[in-house]
Amino acid sequence: MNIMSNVPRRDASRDGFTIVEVVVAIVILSIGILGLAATAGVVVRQMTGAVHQSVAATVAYSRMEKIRTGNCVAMKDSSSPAAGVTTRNVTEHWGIVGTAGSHALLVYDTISYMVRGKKKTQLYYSEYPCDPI
Amino acid sequence: MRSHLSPPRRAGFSLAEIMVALVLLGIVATGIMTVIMRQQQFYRSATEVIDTRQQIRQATAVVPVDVRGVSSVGGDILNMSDSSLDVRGNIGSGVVCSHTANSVTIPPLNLVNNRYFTTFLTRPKVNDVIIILDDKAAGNADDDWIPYTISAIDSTLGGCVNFTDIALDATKYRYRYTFSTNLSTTIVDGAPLRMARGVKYSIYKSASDNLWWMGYRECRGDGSGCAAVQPVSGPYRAYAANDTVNSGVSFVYRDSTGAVTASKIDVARVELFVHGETQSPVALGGGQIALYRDYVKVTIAIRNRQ
Repeated sequence: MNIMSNVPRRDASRDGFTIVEVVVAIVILSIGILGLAATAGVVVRQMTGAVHQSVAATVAYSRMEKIRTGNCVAMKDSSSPAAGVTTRNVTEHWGIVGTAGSHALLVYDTISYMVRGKKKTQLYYSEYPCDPI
Repeated sequence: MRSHLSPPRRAGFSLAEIMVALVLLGIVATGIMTVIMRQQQFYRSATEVIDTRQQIRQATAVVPVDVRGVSSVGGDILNMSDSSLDVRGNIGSGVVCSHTANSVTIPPLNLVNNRYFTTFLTRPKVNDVIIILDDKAAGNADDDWIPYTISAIDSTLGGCVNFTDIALDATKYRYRYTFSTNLSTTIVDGAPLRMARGVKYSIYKSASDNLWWMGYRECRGDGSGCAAVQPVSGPYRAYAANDTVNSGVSFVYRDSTGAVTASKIDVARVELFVHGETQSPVALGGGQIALYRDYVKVTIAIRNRQ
């Protein structure tokens, strides 16, 4: 009995990819490559975020230093203007709190900035030695 | 029994198939190469931008350390300009253990019972300065820190009985500093003292690479005997006189009211502006190729001010 001759089979010489298969493969490959390209966007976003945070930290640091040069008694319980102060696109609101009898001023500095339409806020605080208030 | 007696037909691609495949491959390969080239350019640019930011931050990390502790009212600011700042940095502290008309002896370093009256970051040399508290008359209003320039340094086993154990510290050498001028007659044993050496920060152009760097050099406490300038951070943008918006490094000095001052004893805070840029044009998306510039401004409050 000849099994081979009775089984229908594809023509081996024509075995291959159809154009549809090839196009699908190319599309998938392109998506992969575009994914690689998209990492650039992620890096840019992260770098921008880093810039904002570093500017925020510098602004807070400078504010703390400026407050340090002031007079303890005069600064007690003072705060920033209601609208805050804006430096390099970051806005800060600070408050200086002195508890009667304590030897320190507490300084709070809230920094806010916009990243891609979203508001981000960071709070820095520090304590300064002071004559008894 | 074999179904075919003739040789099998050779499987293969037709010319048209090969052409189509090559064209498609070409298109895809071009796309991939473009993406990879852009990626490479992007990451090189990103690295340069990050380097530039790091260099800027570095300057604002090193300068405050020396500047913060100076006493402007005590004359610690030796010279100041928009491109450089020359201050006396602390290198040690101690107390006057015993003194003569023109010398002081300080306690040995490691006394018994783990007591420490003397600390050194670096040991003072001749022409460094020791600043001693002069109590003067009763009350605090007239107290003053007076700088004395060291003219000779000896170590001795004699003197300094006040802060030492006569038996257990007897073999410990103590430093005796002789000054070029006589001490104020109202300086007493037990007065605190601090040792200072000149440190200078300035923006300078390196002769070897023609780039602008933040330079650091040490001088003796009286401003003499300066070492060669060394780069501490950079490179930055070129120096431009009195231009805080473009100059690589600029210093601005303010008094306690916030007004710009040229008087060294009135300085209450120092503003440091650092501007940097990448060494070559960078492309961070959008295909725009340009030098990337960034800056940092920090305020340094001087702790011992008027």
